[in-house]
Amino acid sequence: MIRAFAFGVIALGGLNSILLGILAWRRIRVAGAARRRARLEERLRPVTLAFLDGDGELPPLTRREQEIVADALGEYARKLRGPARGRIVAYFESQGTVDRELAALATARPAWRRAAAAHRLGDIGSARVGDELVGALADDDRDVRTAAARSLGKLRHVGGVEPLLAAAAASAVPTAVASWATLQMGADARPALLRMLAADEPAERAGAISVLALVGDAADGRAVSAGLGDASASVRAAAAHALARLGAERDLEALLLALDDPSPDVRAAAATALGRLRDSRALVGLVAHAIEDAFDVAQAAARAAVALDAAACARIEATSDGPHLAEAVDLAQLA
Amino acid sequence: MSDAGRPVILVADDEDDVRDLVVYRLSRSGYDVVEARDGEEALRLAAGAPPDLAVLDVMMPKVDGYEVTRRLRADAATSRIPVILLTSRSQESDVSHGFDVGADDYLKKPFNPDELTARVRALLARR
Repeated sequence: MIRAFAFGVIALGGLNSILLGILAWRRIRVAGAARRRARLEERLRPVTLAFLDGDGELPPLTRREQEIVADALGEYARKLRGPARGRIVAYFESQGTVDRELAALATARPAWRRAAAAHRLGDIGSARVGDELVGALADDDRDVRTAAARSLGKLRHVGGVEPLLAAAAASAVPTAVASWATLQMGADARPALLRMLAADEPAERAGAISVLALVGDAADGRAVSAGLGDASASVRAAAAHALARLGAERDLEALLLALDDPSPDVRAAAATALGRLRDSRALVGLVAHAIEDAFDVAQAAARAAVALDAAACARIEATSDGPHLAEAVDLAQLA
Repeated sequence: MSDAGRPVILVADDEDDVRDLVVYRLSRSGYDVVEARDGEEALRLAAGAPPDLAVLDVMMPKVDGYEVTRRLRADAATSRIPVILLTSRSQESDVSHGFDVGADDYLKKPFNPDELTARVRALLARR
């Protein structure tokens, strides 16, 4: 029994030594490979920089060197614009990388490979892949759809606005990613966003209004203002939020009506927007809601009322109940 | 100016690839370039030998680009160095904060190296 135990200990010790040896050997190999790669990167940096700067074509490279240059150019693609970016796109097109990634996006079985392709196509920046990325928004895998959404934003593919917001409304991609991607397109996205105000799905209309609030201007206020009469409370709330940025004097009446909306979200957003309009005609309505309405609405209305006329609010607060008005007056004095 | 009579430009960015490209581009455009990997090193280099212009990344370790700009402006020896901020922040408030602390110009990442060179040239011509 003791002999068997001793044998077991020795065997385990031997096995342990072998495993440690393998680990050490692997570590040395990995460190060696990293050193070789760093040396190669160092050697290839001047030709990569010269290529990016339009100083000449890349010399003939081995397969390994091509991989390293492609990695470096992929990194630069995220950070550069202008002719240097154009040279990166041309390089990847000439190497067949764009076609390879498009094929992977369409046919690769593992979802991670399709997602990687969608991601890489956005980084490379070839303008011809927009439609394929829009198609990838219908992929079965959420990671692929999200990567495609991000890449559509990177490419500023305006044809992607409506599919992006529809995908976000259907929870197929995260709303934050779809909104970010649409924001990258800036004012170019406005026509598509305005079209989406007539979409069948309330979530699509609300999403379009929310993004329009960020990329639109006062001229879009009228279209957004119409959203205050929408059948969906989420659209009315999005419209009221948007008018806090895009609203003008012509929206005063509609926003005052929205203060009596059945949805507290809409009333709170309308109060905030009225505070931003700085029109003293809204003061009476705001004060009434600051004193009588539900917590969030009263708080928003009180802050908006103080933004319109802090002195009047201080006088009213002294003779009335309503902790929100008192709080807003105090906050204004602190600011 | 350097001994060779070329304007000296300080480039500070913690992203090696961006710094390499900016240094390459500016050197090729006829400037002498000194490099810093963070804000602290940038301040040390600027204090040792004030450059003719500084290109500073906003998001740098130790001391960010805003603070480097502010400290350059606060020191009489470096207060007149034109500063271009490189920023991946796109909010108007970030840009205006850059101008508030004394930057002369800013460039948003992703950036066009041709545009950077043109702005460097324009700022140096104004001196």
